[in-house]
Amino acid sequence: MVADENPAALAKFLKVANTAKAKDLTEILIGLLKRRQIKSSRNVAKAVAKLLLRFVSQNKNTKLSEVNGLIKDVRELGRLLVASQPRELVIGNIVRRVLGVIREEGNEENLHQSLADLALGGRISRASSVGDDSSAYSNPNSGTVTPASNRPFSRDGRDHEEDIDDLSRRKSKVYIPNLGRGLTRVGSFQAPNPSFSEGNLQHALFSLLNTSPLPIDSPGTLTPNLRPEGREPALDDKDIRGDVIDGIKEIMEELDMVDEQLAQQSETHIHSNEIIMVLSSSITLQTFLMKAAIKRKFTVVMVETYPNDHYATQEVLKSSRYNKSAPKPGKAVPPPTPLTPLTPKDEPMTPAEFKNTLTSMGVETILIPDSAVPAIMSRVNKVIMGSHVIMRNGALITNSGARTVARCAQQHCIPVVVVSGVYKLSPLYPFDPESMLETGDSSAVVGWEDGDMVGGTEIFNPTMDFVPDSLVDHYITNVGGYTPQNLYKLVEEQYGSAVDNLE
Amino acid sequence: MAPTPKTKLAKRATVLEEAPEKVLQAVIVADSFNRRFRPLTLETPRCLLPLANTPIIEYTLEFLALGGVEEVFLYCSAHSDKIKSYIKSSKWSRASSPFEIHVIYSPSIMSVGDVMRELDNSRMINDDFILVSGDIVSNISLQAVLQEHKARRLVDKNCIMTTVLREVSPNHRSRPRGENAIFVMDSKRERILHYEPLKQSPPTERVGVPKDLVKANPKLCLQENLLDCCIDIVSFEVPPLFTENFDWQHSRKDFLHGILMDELYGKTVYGHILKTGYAGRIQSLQTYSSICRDVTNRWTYPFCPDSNLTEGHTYKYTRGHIYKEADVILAQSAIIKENSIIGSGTKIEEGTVVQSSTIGRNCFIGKNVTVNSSIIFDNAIIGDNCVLGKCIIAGDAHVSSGSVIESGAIISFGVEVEKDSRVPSTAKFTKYTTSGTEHVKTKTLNEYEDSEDDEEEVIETSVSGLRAIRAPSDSGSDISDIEEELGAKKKHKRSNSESEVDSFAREAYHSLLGALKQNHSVDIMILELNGLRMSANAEFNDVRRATASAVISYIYSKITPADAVDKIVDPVIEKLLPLFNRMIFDVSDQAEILGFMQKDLAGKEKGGAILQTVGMKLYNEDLVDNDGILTWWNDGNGPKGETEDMKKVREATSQFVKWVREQDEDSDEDDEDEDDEEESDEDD
Repeated sequence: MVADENPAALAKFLKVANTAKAKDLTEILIGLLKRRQIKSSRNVAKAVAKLLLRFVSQNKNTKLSEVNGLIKDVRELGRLLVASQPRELVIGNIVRRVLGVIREEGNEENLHQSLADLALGGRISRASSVGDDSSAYSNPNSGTVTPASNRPFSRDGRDHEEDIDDLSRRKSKVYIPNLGRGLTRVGSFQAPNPSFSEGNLQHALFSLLNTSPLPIDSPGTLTPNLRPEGREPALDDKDIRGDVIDGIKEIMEELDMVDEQLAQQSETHIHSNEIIMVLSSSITLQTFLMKAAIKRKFTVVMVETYPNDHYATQEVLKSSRYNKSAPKPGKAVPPPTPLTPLTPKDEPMTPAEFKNTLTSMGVETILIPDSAVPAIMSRVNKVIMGSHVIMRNGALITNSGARTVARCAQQHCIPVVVVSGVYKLSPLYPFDPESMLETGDSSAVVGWEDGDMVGGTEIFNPTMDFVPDSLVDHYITNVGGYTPQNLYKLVEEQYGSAVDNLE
Repeated sequence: MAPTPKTKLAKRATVLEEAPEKVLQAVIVADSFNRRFRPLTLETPRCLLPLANTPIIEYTLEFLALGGVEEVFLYCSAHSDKIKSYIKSSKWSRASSPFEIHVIYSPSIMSVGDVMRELDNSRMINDDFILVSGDIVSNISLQAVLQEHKARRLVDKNCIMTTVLREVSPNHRSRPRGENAIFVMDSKRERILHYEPLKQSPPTERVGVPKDLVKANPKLCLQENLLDCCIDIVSFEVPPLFTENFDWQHSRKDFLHGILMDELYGKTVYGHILKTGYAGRIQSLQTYSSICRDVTNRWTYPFCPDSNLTEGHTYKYTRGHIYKEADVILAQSAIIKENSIIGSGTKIEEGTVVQSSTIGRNCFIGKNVTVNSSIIFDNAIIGDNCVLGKCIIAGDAHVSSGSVIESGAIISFGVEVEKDSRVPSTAKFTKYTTSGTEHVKTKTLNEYEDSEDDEEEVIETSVSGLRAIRAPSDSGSDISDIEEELGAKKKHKRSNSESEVDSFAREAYHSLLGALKQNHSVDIMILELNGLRMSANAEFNDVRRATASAVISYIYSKITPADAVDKIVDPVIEKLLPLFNRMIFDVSDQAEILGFMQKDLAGKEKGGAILQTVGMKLYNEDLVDNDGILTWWNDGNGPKGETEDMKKVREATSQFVKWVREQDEDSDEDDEDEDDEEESDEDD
């Protein structure tokens, strides 16, 4: 069984999602998850985000005063989903992200209120679109905490923004949804009250450390949002639905953009004439490699990852083999497709698309069985893996066989690099790693038709492997590179300090 | 077997060229129509029995959901109220269900054939559909099979069914013993050309393959290693076929065999041979236990306990294929070995060892118990120091301490087993009685006995531990004939082979007579008779005997003193010509049928006259020739135990025979010509 995604099931779900009631939709998704019809991390993430979008848009508790009710509802939903497939930790990730968005919206409004109480609010107008990292608001009533706009002062904050971007090492088009909307508020703080701005400044500095930057390509949101004064009485009845939905939409956008964002960093990690061992047939990783192949010449050693992923891995390589070896008579050689420019696409590449482009990139690709990994390791410069989920402490859950490879790489002092979207980063700590690993279909190991084996042996087929943090050297995420030891910072950024138990 | 459209049946085959976005329908036959799960099925329908603590029907429904089915018709007969209320309260009835489910209850359903006839009447089917029974466990992708079927339908319009077959090794544990068959397929291993069920006892030693088949196909592929999991993609033309052959019961023995044996239909059946994926059907206790193991061992992934298919289940997987729900209480020294499933609320005491077993919810298992390969339903209580083999202990049963339950025993719902008792492997205990009142005794309430000396079952015990109770093939649905069931089943079984032929003769006689009285067309009579013959595996002489009796009694019932005999006889015989054509092949057949008629007419008024008229008519229509009549005449002359009455009847025809004899002497050449013609008639 190929650990392949089932795009049909996801597509169908997304289609149904546009019309169905949230409650039914939840049950449909639970069914799909239980039947493993939606199973790769990204597809699960997309489905969950879509469900949450529908859920929030149909929830009654979207008034500001009821924000705790909304949080409770979403958390309940999250628990249901997590229980239906506890090994897809990405469900929890997305739910927590959305909870973060809701908290922000709630706190943002509360903050305004408290600021108004501090007699500062006379000059602060409420932004219609709001949101920022919740950690900054964890104590909204404290006078020392100031609005978390990290673009203070004025509309000319744009230059400033880019400085921040540079500082935080994140280049271009990095979408961090819960920060993106900070921009909107830039114009809303019109009054540079001395104490106020000082606070702002403090916070801006603080945010350099623990928040992510803005998308630079959204200047439209910089438009100042001038509102008349004196809106406080109606605050409690404000509906935050639209804002939360925007936040979820940004998460969904992020999911679509992850591959491109990751690929842009590939050149800095892959150098010419390197031999790179690759463990994963995922599209993310292939895009990453291809992007690097535009400028660099290197060799890829693909690990087969039998028995769960070998079909997909072979699929990726088949066409490149055709092109290299003399084509057998009677077999049509796929015409070499012109190099498709790697501009951001609306849709992720399909494996078929990939195999043609990889060939045309001229990357020398070698497929080895898993057993050959130790033998070939000494010649490898770098090991690159995909991931299923990244744990808070820097441990990794990915295709089975990865741990052996990582351990072998460590023995040879070869760096192990993991390429993964930040949505796969879980705030959980792996206390019981085994419970997070899926055990798959035994028939991938031995065919069920073999009566002697079926009756006479015990067969286990774990589809995932747990790689402890000590075996991973570097994580490349769509918001930059991290060492396993520093991942907790990213966790803070993504999920804030709130702890949501979804178990 | 070239598809030669011959009757209007073939004309019905209007294949839809393209099916634009039709709703994919599935029909589940929730009744097993046999008694293999007695006594458990006295109280619960088979499809609601737990398999790895999840009702069996859930697996079937999940399988259909996985296959993208959008509408499900669930036919049930026995325990329909239980099935109905189960489905009603399940997630499948909610708006979020992937398909719309209709539970259809019909008390008259006694076989798959009945379901198909009901289906034909209901007119709810508008496209090719999936036919499964309610006890399928599978994770294969139906979409692939469907696509293949659809593509094939465009090419071969006569393709009416694609059946899913899984290739397995011959001694596979999940193969149902006694349910195997030989599939004769074409060289590409796609089309099924012939189907021959294999008997377990006595073992089938020879399988006949029709001569024509060998002639038409230089290459044939005979396969015995196919597990028939009864997942069929059935064309919408099939239910009408069942209506026309109202004696077809079994989807394999009758329908498949019948369709393939009879060129008349000109239909083709294809097989989809799977090499990967899981497909099994719980047909017997043996397959029940082995499929339970398959589920535990994750061959059926994703349909495993830790997928928590039923709502409210909280199974978690731990290494060694051990599944535990929340709130399982294990004593410190209790040992849970591999392949075990334990439901929530179950308490297992000190020193107990559980291995390869399924234990339901809220069970209590005492100290120092050994549970090996057992299946224990919810709320059962097992006392201290018990030893449980490969047995089934149903819900609320109480096994008192010190008992030993041997492999193969079945303790049904609510039964209490006395202290320190030893339950033999053949025991089947139930509390259920026909009157519905429960005995409250401590031990061995209605002991449900089976033929212990049955060789076949001994074999199965040694193979699987759990015995497969072989049910008589003509058994009814789960609940019928309880008294008879509780009585001696053995005799019924032993007399099976004889009674089949007898029942064929009786049924054929009645069906023909009925058809004649209701003036059905002869085509229908032929179909019926053929179906009956195949299902009972009857010989042609049985057919002739039945036909002769039916025709004679019909004619006899019509005869009035006033009318001339030939006025009645002639139209009847004329009408039935095609029928006679299909059962009279040579001289001895001719003699035989005349003999049967003679026998039936013996002692009846005007018997001689009727026989003479019939004989003359048959002679005139070239169905009977000189040789035939003379053979019959001469046979009768011999010491064949002709009774006085019969003799009288025969004497009456002496004039006719005499005339025939003269004719015979005149022209021998004519006879040969007639023979040839006859043969050519039969060929098409």
